[in-house]
Amino acid sequence: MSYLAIFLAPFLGGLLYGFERKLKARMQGRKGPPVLQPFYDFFKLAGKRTMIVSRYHAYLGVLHFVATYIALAMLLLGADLLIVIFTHLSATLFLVVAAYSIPSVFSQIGANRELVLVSVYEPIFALVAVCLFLSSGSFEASSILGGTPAIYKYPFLFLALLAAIAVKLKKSPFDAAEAHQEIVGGMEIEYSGIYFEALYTAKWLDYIYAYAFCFLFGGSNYLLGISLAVFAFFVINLFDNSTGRIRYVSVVSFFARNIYPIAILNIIVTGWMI
Amino acid sequence: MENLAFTLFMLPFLGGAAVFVTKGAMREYLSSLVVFVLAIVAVASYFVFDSSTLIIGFNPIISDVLMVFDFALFAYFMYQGLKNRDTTILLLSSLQLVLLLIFVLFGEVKSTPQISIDKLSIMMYLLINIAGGVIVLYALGYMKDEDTSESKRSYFLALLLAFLGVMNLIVSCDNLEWFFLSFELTTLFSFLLIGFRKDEVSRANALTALRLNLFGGAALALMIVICGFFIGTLSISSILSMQNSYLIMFVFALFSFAAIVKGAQPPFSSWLLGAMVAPTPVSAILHSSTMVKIAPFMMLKISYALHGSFFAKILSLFLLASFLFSAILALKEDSFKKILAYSTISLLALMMALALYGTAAAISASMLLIVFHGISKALLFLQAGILEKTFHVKSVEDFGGLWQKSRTTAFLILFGFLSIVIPPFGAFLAKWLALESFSASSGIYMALSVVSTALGGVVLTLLYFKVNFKLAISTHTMDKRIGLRFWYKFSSWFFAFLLAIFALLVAPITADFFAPIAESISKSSSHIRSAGLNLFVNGGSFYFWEILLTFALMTAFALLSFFAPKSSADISSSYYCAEKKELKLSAFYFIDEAFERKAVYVFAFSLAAILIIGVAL
Repeated sequence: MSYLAIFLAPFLGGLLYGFERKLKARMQGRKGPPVLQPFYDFFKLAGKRTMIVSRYHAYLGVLHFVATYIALAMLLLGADLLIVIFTHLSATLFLVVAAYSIPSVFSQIGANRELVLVSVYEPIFALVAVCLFLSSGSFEASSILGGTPAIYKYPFLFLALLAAIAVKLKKSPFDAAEAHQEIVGGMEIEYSGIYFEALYTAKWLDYIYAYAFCFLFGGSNYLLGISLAVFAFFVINLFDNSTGRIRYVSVVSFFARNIYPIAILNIIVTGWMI
Repeated sequence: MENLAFTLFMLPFLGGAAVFVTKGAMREYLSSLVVFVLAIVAVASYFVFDSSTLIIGFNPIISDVLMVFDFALFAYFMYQGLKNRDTTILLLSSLQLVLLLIFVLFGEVKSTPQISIDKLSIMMYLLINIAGGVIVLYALGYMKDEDTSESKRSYFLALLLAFLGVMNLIVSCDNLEWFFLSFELTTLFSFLLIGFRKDEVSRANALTALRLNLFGGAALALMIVICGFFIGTLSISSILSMQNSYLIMFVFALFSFAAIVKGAQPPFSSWLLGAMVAPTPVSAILHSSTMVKIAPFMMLKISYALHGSFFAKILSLFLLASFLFSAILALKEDSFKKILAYSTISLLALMMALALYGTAAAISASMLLIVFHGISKALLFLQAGILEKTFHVKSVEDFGGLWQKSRTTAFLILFGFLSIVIPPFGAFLAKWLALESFSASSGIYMALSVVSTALGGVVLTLLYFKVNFKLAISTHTMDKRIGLRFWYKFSSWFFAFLLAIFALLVAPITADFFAPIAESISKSSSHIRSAGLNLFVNGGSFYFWEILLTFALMTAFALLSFFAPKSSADISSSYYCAEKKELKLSAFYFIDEAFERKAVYVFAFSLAAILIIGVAL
């Protein structure tokens, strides 16, 4: 079952991405592209002429995809969440090293912003792992899915996770790292053709990765888990549609002033009550 | 085993003395021979050692002789204080002199065995002699590039070797007098090494190191007097096994104060930051295997006695705050060595906090971090030295072009940083274990420790990778490749391979080497076990297939760095918005002075808050 899920992950991620574009269009009163549009784009991109700045940079993009896929596979196979999170971090770091390796203003700014935003969202993922451990007694995704739902005890951590996912998936208002109008995609700028494909599909994998964490909040109650993931999907897209981008510095202070305090308080208060 | 231990204590001094009087190729052969023997003996001691503690008692007369050494040291420190008109040094060393004099004249203490070797000492031997030894080999190459006289080169290498001997001694002492002497000797050696270049800045920073470390020495001297007069024993192990009382608590407070000074925690961190003016092998050896590692070692010693006490909790929260704030303060630096120094201070705080937390899993994490941070930091400092001597680069702003000049150096810098941050390397595993063991506690303490561990870790990641912003840039101009000295290449790749091998074997090493030591320290089960090459801890797991996959990623990264395969794609230059101006890249610093001031206030405030909450509860 999990092997099938791993195999299908890019397709599911692509579908989810297509569905998201549809949903966003409907929220704006547009008809939107077909759900399979990401795949059409995929094939169109494959036919384009590939231009690279350096081989090192191009191949690191592929390595980023591989690392993202490995992290997701670990998650789907029920691995230790902290291991998953840090393997995923290594995927991001490969991309950052790649982006730093070319003398491009946009790429460099994008990499700097990405690093700052990583230090904002990564600890939230780690805290989520800790809370899932506290409610199920295990850091392993497979055991968490057999335990009590964490959502009742740690609802604010779920909210924090929503914000972290918005940063991770580069959703407005937290999309300063790629910021198409200002820094034309940041770290992605110098990728084209088949190498851009790697980044493009890695993003689809990130969709599955991020919403799988929401699903884990449902514990053994899969229906609850699915509802939470669907809820997260709607809320994140609602905010993406209705807010404007804020500066990366404001993202940091927003998290420092709101998200981290509620997460910490939730852990402390729940600790007292039990 | 006794013979092996004596070899570890004496050979560095004898070898150092021999190196001191030789020159040229002879010196090189001799030092590499000494280092080789030390490493073999350290490994042998691991295999030979079978009891839980080996106690060696010397004739008390030797202790009396060493006491004379103590006084000679005080005299030297006082002389330095007088010569440089430094009243603090003068006052602190005369205070120690007076305290010890009182103890010698009026104290009556039954003599106890001076040496006690346990598994923790063996672990430290391995770190000190192998990592420290290879740094001495590196120094052979470095000294050739150093602009100084031949005899001073010998002097430098002799000092480094002897330092290893002092370190071997300090991790084996059970008698407080001996411990104090070795503690003061490390202060002396770091003073001499930091001041090696004899210029204005070196001298000033060496004096800072001396001044601050003497605070630690004074705390230990006071501890000797208290133990001599009120507790009646100078044996560290018997003090540790005593019933808790206010007096004992005060003694532990003094001991951990000395550890905090040695571990360069704020407000005593300036000495380690200043140590970077010395030749780079000094920084490498201070940061990786000697000197600062005494601090977590001391915390591990008192870990069991303090386990669960309020004092331990408060102190470890203070250290976790320091872990986070030292990492944040490092963001403003542009000197590569200084960035590494801040990162050491930060990680030392984590090691000490984990040791104080006291569960077997946390102690394993602490030791994993001591060893693997040591190896990674050694690797990074060696690169810093190579940058300085071969490429004349000190600031991260000047990293551009390195990719073409020396792929090895550039790659090893990236690798060194990755090995602290990502799986499956040892330092990562330590942080993983840290998070998992902190999660098992409860309440405010748990929330704060988990959050600061997670945050501190990512801030360090941000720091490590932003400094490489132009490291890997390949311009199309042909920079000439520059070859590296043999000892540079040998020592660097030695550490890199050590990290790689231990990454693959991380499960058996953690479960069969570190966990048993941690269990003997904490006298409880660690719940860490390995099955084959899979690692299991309480509530978590790290399977070999995961280790293998992440290792494969790292291997791919390494291969890409050296042999990126040909690609059929067209090469273009990067998008520049049709600008004609030359592109000048500079590092991001993220924080400014105003922010730094604010951070210091917040740090002080949180300390006050921790203290107030502590006293209130």
